[in-house]
Order: sequence, then structure tokens, then C-alpha cells
Amino acid sequence: MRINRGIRMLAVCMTLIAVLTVSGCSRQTMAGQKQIRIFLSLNEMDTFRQTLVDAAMAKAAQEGVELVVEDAGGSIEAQVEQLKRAAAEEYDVILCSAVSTDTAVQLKLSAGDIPIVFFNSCPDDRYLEAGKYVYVGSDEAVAGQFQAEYVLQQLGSKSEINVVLVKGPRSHSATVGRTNGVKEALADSGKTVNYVFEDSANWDMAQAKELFALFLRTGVTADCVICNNDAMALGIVEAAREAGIDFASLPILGVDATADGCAAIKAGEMQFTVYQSGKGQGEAAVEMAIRLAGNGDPEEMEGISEDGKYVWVDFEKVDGSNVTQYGQ
Amino acid sequence: MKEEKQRGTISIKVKLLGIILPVVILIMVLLVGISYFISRTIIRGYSEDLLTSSIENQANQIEAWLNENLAAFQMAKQAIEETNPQPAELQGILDGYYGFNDNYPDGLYIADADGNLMKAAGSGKTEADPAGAVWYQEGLTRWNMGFTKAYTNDAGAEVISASGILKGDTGALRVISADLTLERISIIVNSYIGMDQARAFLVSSADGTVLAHHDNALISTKLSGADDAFLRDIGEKVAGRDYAMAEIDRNMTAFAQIQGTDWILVSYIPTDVIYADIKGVRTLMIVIGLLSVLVLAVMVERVVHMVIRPVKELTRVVTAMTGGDFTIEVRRAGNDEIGVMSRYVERFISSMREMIRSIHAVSGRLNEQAGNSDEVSGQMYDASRLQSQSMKELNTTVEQLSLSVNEIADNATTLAMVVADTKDDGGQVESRMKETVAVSVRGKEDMQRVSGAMKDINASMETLQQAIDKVGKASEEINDITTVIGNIADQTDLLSLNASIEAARAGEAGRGFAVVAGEIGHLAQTSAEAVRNIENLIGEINVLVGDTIRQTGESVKNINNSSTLVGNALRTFDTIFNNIEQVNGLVQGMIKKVEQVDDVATNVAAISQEQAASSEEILATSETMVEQADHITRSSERVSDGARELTASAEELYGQIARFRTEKEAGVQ
Repeated sequence: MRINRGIRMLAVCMTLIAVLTVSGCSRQTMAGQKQIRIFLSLNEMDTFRQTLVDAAMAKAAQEGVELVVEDAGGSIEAQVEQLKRAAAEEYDVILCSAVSTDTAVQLKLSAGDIPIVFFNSCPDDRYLEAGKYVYVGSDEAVAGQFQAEYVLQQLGSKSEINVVLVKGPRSHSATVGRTNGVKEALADSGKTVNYVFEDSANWDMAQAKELFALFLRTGVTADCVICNNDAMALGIVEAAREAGIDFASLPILGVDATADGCAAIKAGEMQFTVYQSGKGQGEAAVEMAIRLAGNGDPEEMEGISEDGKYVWVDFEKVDGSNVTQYGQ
Repeated sequence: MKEEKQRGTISIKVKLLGIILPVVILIMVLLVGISYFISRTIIRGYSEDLLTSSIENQANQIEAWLNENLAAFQMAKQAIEETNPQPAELQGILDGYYGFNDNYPDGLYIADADGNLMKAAGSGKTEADPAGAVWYQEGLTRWNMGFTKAYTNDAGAEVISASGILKGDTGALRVISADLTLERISIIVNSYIGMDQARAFLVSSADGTVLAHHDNALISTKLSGADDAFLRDIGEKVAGRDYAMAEIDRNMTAFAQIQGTDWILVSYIPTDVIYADIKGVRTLMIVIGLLSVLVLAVMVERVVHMVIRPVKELTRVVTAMTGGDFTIEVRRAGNDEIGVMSRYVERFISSMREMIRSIHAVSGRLNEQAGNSDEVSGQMYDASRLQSQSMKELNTTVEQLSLSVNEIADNATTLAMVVADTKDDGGQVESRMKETVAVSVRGKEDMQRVSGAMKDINASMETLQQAIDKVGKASEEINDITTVIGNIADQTDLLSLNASIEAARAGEAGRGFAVVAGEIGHLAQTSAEAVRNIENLIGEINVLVGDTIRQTGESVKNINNSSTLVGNALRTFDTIFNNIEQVNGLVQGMIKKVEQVDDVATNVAAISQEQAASSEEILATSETMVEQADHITRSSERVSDGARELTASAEELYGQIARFRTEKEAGVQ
């Protein structure tokens, strides 16, 4: 009697395991069979984002998943509406470059239960959640570090460095991250670093040019010009050219490795930029999306941070030695 | 009994309390500990969240305040730059901004590289060396207005300035600036604290200077040089750019960066404040826990006491039963398991009582019977011993009988041999007799020829004489032989007599033998008689031979004288011949008798040998009987031992059973 009961229990357990295994398998195969649908909401198209979106499309096609891209045209309302629609149409994952990262909570609410992969602009840490709301991007501080490293490498012989720092908009996350990256890395070098001019040019070439012209009027000598992006660096280049400054004696550094930036490096006007891999970010965003859709473990993703909230895509250093590989 | 109980046993109450109380206390301690730990963690989490939200809010407020001021300065600056006013107009603008906002009571002021300072008319701002001033130097590094580090202005006030390059057509670079006092910033910082009992201060991450603090004395001092260890530790954290929330010197401390500046807002709250409530809860829980344990202990004690009271009663009963007292009465106790147990114990006692009574009776009888059996087995033993002894005696007798029979057999054999010898001797006698006859025939023939040839008579007479001598000798020899036979016969007779006696002794078994012995005796007597006859005859022969010799002598003398005498001699010879013939017949008869004796003696020998064998068998049988008798004796001895043991056991049983009391006796409690 007792043995019978034991056997019956065992049978029940075995059946349960079998059912679970089968259902687990079927779920997986279903996930494999059922096409994963991804909705991408872009804040506003530009060249960098175009690269990113192209890479994402290519990756999606390669993985056999459906990817729909919509541009919010810089409108918060349009973006929120897009996400609501994506939720209604039951997409599996949403890729989103927020028009404003301050709207993260509203965006999450609009998306309902659908996981969101943020990219391009990073919402505050507290709005992210491992396995649900993940940011794919590059660690801005690393770009700043790369710039500082290049400067230290070029001006290593000097114990005191006069730095001109041209920043993006005051509270932009890229501005803060890149600026802090530069300042911290320079501070850690132990050298005396004088920020002889430090102002925001709002990513703008003309503003940067104007600022640098203004700086030149102060008569202070700068050892290098570090800009938060290539556009501003090109503005510096123009101002320097007009002032007749020898580019070899004044390293001008940017970030983004835009075509113009790379051309300036080739021309010897700029010395260094950092390539933010739009392709890498686009591919990583789609891969993370596929994993969040249940086809893989998000925690196993390459470049995932310890807390599982970020996927860091590596920056690449671009200078005269390797510039030909970039800027196409 | 009481002592043993106290020494060897621990009461159920103590055991239960000993188990339950530690477990309950442990559970209570765990419960209080875990609750405290969890509550503490939760409260800590809440406090961290609260502090985080407080500091973020505060930081936002400060940022907003700063940005507001900065935006105001920037607007004024832009207005100046756009209008590109003449100095008089510029003075008017500055005057217009003066007193516009009490955050910067000195208003906006402008200096150029040449050291010219422009300020509002009512402003008390002084500057000995405008071009060397902090605000001017830092202002030169930007076009957009930005904050300088903290410094002491000419008026001796701790301030920060918002300054930037003022673009214009004039050749010299100008810097426009406005001062914000740190005191005001401190007020702003402390006004926006969102958490009760939390404190906040502002630090510059660039050099670790305190920009704002509720303790004004600390403003503008460096964290690294502070007297307070907490401030020094914060200084280290800020220098290390570690802005994670942490507990520093018993203060929960949060950091926030103020956007657009290198300022770090530090907000902290003592952990004692956070945990004050939870400590109260912990104390309350400990008190409740202690009370619970106490109440539980009392309850357990009471309940156990009630529960084990009937058990004690049962223990008393069982203890009495163990001592063999089944007279004890069980007091009924309740209707629970113990009550049921009591009833069954009661039933058990009554059934045991009955059982012991009957066992008692049975064992009494058994004891008695065992006594009897012992006695009987003693008697049996004696009887068997007697029997054994008798058997031994019988055995001895049979042994003797056997010996005697053997002796008879030997004697009979000897007799047979002797008789055989006698027969042989008889044969010799016969041959001699035949010779005698032949000689007497020749004598007769010689005598017949005597008359013919008297000359040979003399010689013949001598031969005759010799022959007669020989006869005499033979007669003597015969006489000797008969004497021997006579002796044998006498002995045989004696033997047969003995045999008869022994046969008589052997009883029934010897009866056949007695007849044979009688026959042997009879034969022996007949033999003796025949022998006597032979002796008599031989005596006569001897006499006749003597006569013959004499007569022969006379004849020899007379032959010479008278041939007539020869005739007489011849007749005499005839007589002799006849006599010899007679003797020969007698000898023949005697030999036949002796042969008969021989046969009989041989039979006797054979029979007596059989007899001897039979008596050996009898002996063996009687020895077996003796052994068996011994065996019986031993067995009966064992039976006797068994009976004795049985008696002892029965007595012991009786004694044991006697221990159980089933009826109340006087004086037994």
C-alpha cells in the first residue's frame, strides 16, 4: 500500500517533470517560431542615429526578427503616443532613445509590461531595472578618459597643463560624463591642470569658434583644447586657423569621430577623437531586445554591467594612426 | 523507595519545562532578533530612500536656485552685450539691477583688465585690485556666467561670485560679476532639507572647502583640516569621488552633485535617530517575550501538574504491584487517556489477583506432589540398588558355575583320552592273547610230537619253560593293565559323581548332564567289575602257569622215565589252550566295553564343552543384566535427583507465589 503510494507519487512527479520539460521546450520553440517584434522609437534622426538604426535593422534582419522604426521628431508627446501604440499592438520589446530622459517614468508607463531598451540618451539610474529596463550605450566617462589619456600622452613632459574645455549643454548627460571623465583622469595624473577656459558651446561649431576667439583675446596660452564633441572641435579648428595657430602645437580633441572630425584628423587639424560605435550600439540594442523577449539570458549579454542595468558598448580611440578606418 | 525515586528519576514536569522553556526562549530570542533585524533593515531602507529623495530634492532646489540666479545674471549680461551701451548707459543698467534681488545685495559689477571697476551707484562693493580678484580671474575662463570658488571679498565676506567675460566692442576684456554670500547659500541649503533631523552642507569637490554649513564657523574651512572626524571622513570620500550612500561615524550619509558646479551636497542623519523607534519596539518585544515565557512556564507547570496527578496515583499502584502487592485499590481518575489507563490497570490487578490465587493453589499442590514423588523415587532407587546387588550376586554364582562346567568339560576330555588309551592297551592284550594261543597250539603240537621224539623233549621242555615264563610275564603285565583300567574306572566313577553334583547345582540346565554323569558312573563300575574278573582270571592263570612249570619240571624228569606222562601233559595243554581261549574271549569282551566307555567319554567331553559354551553365554547374559541393573540404579538415582530438584523448584515457586499478596492482611498498609 505504502509502496504503491510511493510509486504513484513518483509517477506523478515524473509526469510533472515531463510536462514541464515539454512545455518549456515548446515555449522555446514557439519563441523561436513566433517572430519577435521590436518597436524602435527614435527621438530625432541624425547621422549618428542613422548609423545606429541601420545597424539595428541589419542585425534584426540577420536574426530574423521584425523591427519597426518610428521617428518622434523631437516631440515628447509623439514619442509617448508611439509607445502607447506599440503596447496596444503587443510588440515584444521597445527600443527607445528618449526625447527627454526626464520622461522615463511616463515612457515606462506607456509601454505597459513591455520591456524597454533605452539607447542614445541614458535615463536616471533609478528608472532602470535589470531584465526589464536596460540602457545600451557607451560610458561617456570613458570617452573623457580617452581624451585625457591622449593629452597626457602628448604633453607628458609638462608638469603644468593649460586646458581649454569646450562642453556641451550644461546638464546633458554626455556633457557631464565626458567632462567628469576628462577632469578626473587629469586630476589623477598628479599634474597641475589649469582650466584656462571652460564653457559650454552647446555642441555647436559656431559657438565654439566664437568662444575660442574670445579666449584667445585673454592672451592666455592653451596647451590643448578638449571638446565634448567633434562639431565644437571643428569650431576650435576654424578659430585657431583664423588666428594662425600651429595645429601641431595645439592638440584639439573631439568625440564622436564624425566624417568631418575624421577629415580634420587626416588634415592634421584635429589630433584625436573618440568613436562612439553607433553600429555597435544598434546591434547591442537589438541583441538585448531579443534576449529580453525571452530568447536568451539578459544577464549573459556581453558588456552587461554588474547590476544588469547597463550594456556598455566600447568606445574606440581615433587618431592619425587609425583615422582611415573611420569617418566613412 | 522515596530516596531511589529522588536519586534516579527526574519528574515529567521538570523534563517538560526543561525542554519547552529553552525552546520557547530560543524561539522568542530568534523572533525578537529576526524581527528587530528585519525591521531595522526595512527602516534603514526607508531612511535611505528618504534621505536619497531628500538630498535629491534639496540638490534640485539648490540647482534651481543657482540656475535662477545665474539665468538672471546671464540675462542682464546678454542685455548689456546686445545693447552694447556706452559707459553712461551701462552705469544706468547696473544701477537698475542694484537692489533687484537681495541674493546679491552688491548688484552686478564690471571690471576690465586695466583695473577699472564699474558698479551700481548705491553698491558698497569695493575691490582694491579688480584684475587680480578671484572673480575676475575665473571670469576670464568663460563667456557664460559661472560660479567661482569660495573666497573672501574685500569687505571680508565669504562669497562666491558668478562671473564671465562681457563681450563688447571695446578693446579691453571686461568681466561682469555678482557676489552671492555663502551665508545666504547656507540658509538656502538648510532650508531645503526634506527629512526631519537630517543635516546638510555643501562642499566643493575641487578643494574640499565647506561652502555652506549650518555652523557658520565651518564655512570656508577645509574638510581635511576639520576637528570633527566625521567631516574628515567625508573629506576623504569626496576626495576619492566616492559619492555612494554610506554610514560614516554613525551617520547615514548621502552625497549629491550639484549640476553645473563642482559642488557636492552632503546630507546626513545620525543612525541613532533612525533606529530610535525600532529600539523602542525591540525593548517592547523583549518585555512581551519575557512575559510570554513567564506565562507559558506557569501554564505548563499547572497543566503538567494536573495531567500527572493521576499518573502519580498510577505510579503508586504500579510501584505497589512491583512489590507484589495486588491488594492495592486504583482510585478512578477522569475520563481521559490516563483515566482509561487507570481502569485497565484496575482490571489488570483484579485479573492478576485471581491468577496469582490460582497459581498459589496450584503451586501448593505441586509442592506436595513433588514431595511425594521425591519419596517414591527414593524408594525406587533403593529397590533398584537392591536388584543390582542381587544381580551381581547371581552373576558371581553363574561365573562359578561356568568355571565348574569348564572343569567338567576338561575332566570329561581327560576321561575320553584315558579310555582311548585303555582301548589301545586292550588291543595289545588281544594280540598277546593270540600269541599265547598260537604258542599253546605249538606247545600242543610239540607235546603231540613228544611221544615221537623224546630226545627233543628236553630241549622242547626248556623252550616250553621259557614260553611259560613268558606267559607268566604276560599275565603279570595283564595284571598291571587291569590295575590301571581299574584305577581309571574308579576315577571315572568319582568324576561322574562330581558331575552329578555339579549338574544338580546347575539346576534345570544340568539335568541332562546329570543323566550322562550317571551313565558314566555306571560304565565305570562295570569296567571296574570286568577288571576284577580279569584279575581273578589272571591269578588263576598264574597259578596254572606255576603248576605247569612244576608239572613240566616233573614231566621232564618223568619224560625220561615215563612217556605216559606225555599224554597227561597233552591233556593239560588242551586245558591250558581252552583256558587261553576263554581268556581271549574275556579280553575281547573287555575291549568292547572299553570302546563303549570311549564313546561315552567322548560324548561326555563334547557335551560338557557345549555346556561350557552355554555357561559362558549365561555368564555374558548375566553380566549384561548386571550392567542393566547398574544402569537402572543410575537412572533411578537421576530420577531421584530430578524429584529432589522438582521439590526444590516447587518450594521456590511456592515461595515466589507467596510474595504476591492478594488479600489484605492485618497491619499491611
